[in-house]
Amino acid sequence: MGAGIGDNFNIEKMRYHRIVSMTDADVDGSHIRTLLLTFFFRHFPEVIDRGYLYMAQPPLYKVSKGKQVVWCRSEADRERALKQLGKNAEVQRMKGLGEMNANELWDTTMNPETRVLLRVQVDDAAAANEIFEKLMGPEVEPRKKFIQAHAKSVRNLDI
Amino acid sequence: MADERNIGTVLTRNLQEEMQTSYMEYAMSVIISRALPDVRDGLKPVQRRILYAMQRAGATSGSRYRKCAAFVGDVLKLYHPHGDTPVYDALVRMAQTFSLRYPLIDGQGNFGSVDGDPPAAMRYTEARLAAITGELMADIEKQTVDMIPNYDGSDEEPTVLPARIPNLLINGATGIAVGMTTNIPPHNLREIAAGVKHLIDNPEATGEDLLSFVKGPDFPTGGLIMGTAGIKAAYSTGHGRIVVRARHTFEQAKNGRERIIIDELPYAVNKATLVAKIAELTNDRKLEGIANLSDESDRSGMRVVIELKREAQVYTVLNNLYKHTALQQSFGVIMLAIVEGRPVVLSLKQALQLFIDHRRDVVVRRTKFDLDKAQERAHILEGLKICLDHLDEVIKTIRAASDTETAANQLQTKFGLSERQARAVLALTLGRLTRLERHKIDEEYEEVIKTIAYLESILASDRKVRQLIKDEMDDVTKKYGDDRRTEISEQEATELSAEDLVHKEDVVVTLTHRGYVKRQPQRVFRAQKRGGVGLKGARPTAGGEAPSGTREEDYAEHLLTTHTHASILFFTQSGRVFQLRVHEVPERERQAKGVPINNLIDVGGNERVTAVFIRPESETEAHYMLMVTKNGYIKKTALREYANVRRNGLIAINLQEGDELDWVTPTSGKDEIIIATTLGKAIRFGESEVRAMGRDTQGVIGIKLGKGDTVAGMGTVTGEGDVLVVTERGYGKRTPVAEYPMHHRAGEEVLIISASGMVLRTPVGAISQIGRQTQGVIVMRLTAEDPGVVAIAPVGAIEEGDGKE
Repeated sequence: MGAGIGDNFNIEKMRYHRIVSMTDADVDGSHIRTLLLTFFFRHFPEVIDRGYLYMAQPPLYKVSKGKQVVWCRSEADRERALKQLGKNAEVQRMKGLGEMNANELWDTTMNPETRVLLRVQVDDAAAANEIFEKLMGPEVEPRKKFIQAHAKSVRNLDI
Repeated sequence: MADERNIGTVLTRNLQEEMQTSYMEYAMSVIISRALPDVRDGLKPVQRRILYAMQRAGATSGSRYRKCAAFVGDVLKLYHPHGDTPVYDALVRMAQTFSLRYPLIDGQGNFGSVDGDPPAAMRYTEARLAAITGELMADIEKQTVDMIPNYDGSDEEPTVLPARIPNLLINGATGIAVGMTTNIPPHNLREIAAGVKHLIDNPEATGEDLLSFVKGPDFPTGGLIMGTAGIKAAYSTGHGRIVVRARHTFEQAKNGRERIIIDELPYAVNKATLVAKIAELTNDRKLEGIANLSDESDRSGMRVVIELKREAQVYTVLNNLYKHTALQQSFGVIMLAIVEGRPVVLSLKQALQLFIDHRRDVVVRRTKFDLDKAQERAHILEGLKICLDHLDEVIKTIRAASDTETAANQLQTKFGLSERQARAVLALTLGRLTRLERHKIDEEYEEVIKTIAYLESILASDRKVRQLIKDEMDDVTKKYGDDRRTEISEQEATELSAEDLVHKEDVVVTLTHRGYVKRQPQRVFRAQKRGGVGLKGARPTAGGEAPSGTREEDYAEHLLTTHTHASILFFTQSGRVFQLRVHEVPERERQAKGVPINNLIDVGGNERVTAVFIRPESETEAHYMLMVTKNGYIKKTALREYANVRRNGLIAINLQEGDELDWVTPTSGKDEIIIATTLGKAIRFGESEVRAMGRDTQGVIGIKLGKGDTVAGMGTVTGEGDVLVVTERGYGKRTPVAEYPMHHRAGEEVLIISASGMVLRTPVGAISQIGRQTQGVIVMRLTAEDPGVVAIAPVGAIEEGDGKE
């Protein structure tokens, strides 16, 4: 990024003001995203503070019927698309970026006209630090407890 | 910083929330549908998908082998949108006879080895399902399990297999999820089946009850489980630590060295890594006593040979191997499995119960399915019977109808058939319809009605369902049950002591005047009749040939009959005491001279062993050690003060200048002591007169000596039994203690050793009991040049038959 690392890090030297993480839209992609976020939070917190860190939003579903294609970023989008295209529409759950052709990736995820980026924002630095400690720290027990406590809240399971 | 260009829609996302959501999605997915097995069929999703894909492809146990690559492709295409490598790895593991106790896949080709060799690539290897996997799949076509759409909705896959075998427990499972792992050991099918049956009959059975059926894990690689505490903990709480050791045998190499042969390893231990580790530790001198190491395993079996150095103690080497290498491993049991979509740590009882519940579910669903089929058939048969009653009209009606639809309607209205019955009739060709035989239809109908009654009775009775589950358990046990491979030792994995490894054997230990010590099995001394010449012991030879026998002018001074688990205490003239285990004394041929005692214990150059005896094994045998010095000092010390005597010695008695410790004997505290002097004086007194003292003391005067007199010998008497005295010229006599008690007490047999090294073992009874003023009888014939008998010792009441030889 041109800004160095550790003691030599100088945010002013950043060559880019938008660092976009783009991972597969499945749970492994989620995992990679958490690892990347951890990397930035630990080593380049200023990148996050200044709002340079973004997450791309590749589509979750491709709903198609004949030549008509609708890309969906959520379950709700998918329902809407299914209504729009009517019966016999095919639904494909998009699991990897590699499933898309280059132009499809452009249309869905990269084109500024159509894409949606999420800017990473820290509202509560202490709380953020705590969650990184829990999820990525060396202690297993707090992680286990956290997982047990939040097991019910998970919606998007890969079965 | 603000960008002028349009960068599209930008929303914000709170870092903390994003971390939580993303992480939890990943964690729960890994926990529930990746790394952990389902309690019911014991399979992780990828395993289930592989087996199901192979089943669907027809690769059952009777079929020909087919390329693994094809199955991996099927799995990826149909069910498992992940990497091909993990799928192939999972397939390979299910075929490895050293990974699964009951392999689920029958592999053809190189599927890897216990040395960690990788399997051949999937384009080379072939596979089909193992016969036992048929039991996992049994009845799957009868709607016994829930099916769900696959990842792209193009097909269906089972959420669980019907699993007629308790796969979770017999094959075990390992898996690392997020924040939790599972590690379930494999078990023996017969034992688990017995546990299942017991629990079906006794739902209130305790974990303790189940333990009498399920003894413990049974690893495909055999080995030895040390102790049952870990097993009990694992079965009652789901967590436990089970120590597993390699199995070994001993061999004697041609060069006389002891060899440890390893033929079974603890579960999941990589043999090549283990051997490399032993070699490394040996080279770094962290493991002592290993002379040579070789892996002689081949396709017929495992054989790792550890050759020991001559002076090495087998148990010390094994202890160190256990401590520092994977020859001993602990298996940390975590009985974690997925129960109704949640990870749960299970006790053995819970795991068995959940399996039973699953079987009940499957049996009920299967019965319902069969019942539906039977009822459907009965319905059709009823229709056919109606047709038979009006066959001509039926045929006419069908012929008259313009199309099938009309015919069906006509049949329904005219004959009161249902639509399904009408269609069934229409499905028959005219030929078959006319050839329908009433009695066959009646017979089949009756059969079907019976079947229906039977199936309904099952559904109505949980007892019958339970019986079915048990019968099916028996069935699979008969087909696939086999003997346990892992032995379970009651003994916990403490460090090995000599007693664990050294065969308990009666031996004779001799120590020569010049300090050469050796041991020999007692059985090499055949009992000879009185007057026998004895066998050649360590024979002094003419100068120059010393190494082959006792050194010139040396003679056997001490003779102990004992066993290999005992300890010997050596007392030196300077008042120190040393201890050696009998088995630590090298075993040597009868005619060998033995090894210098200072190689075994730390005696100094000027030190001479003057008293040797077997350490009493318990305080009931002896409470004290009684010492007498040349100058007449006597000292008694409690035996326990000598509990920790080592090879490097301890002070036994403080001696005055010029004095020597020459006699030591264990006493009971109630014995009588006789001390005799060179000038022929003797004193006899109760040992209670001698107060017990600590080790580092000099004792009290035992006998007041005249000028120039020294103590010649001492003995203890208990007042009963006979005393055997053997003179230097081989004369022996037996005298009741009461008459003239002195010197050693005799057992049933005595071993006699002469100064020239001849050894004789003879029954005491052969020596007649004679009065004390007599010379005695000849016990051992001595050759003219033999200086005389130097030691006698009682032989325990062993090998009585020997006396008749």
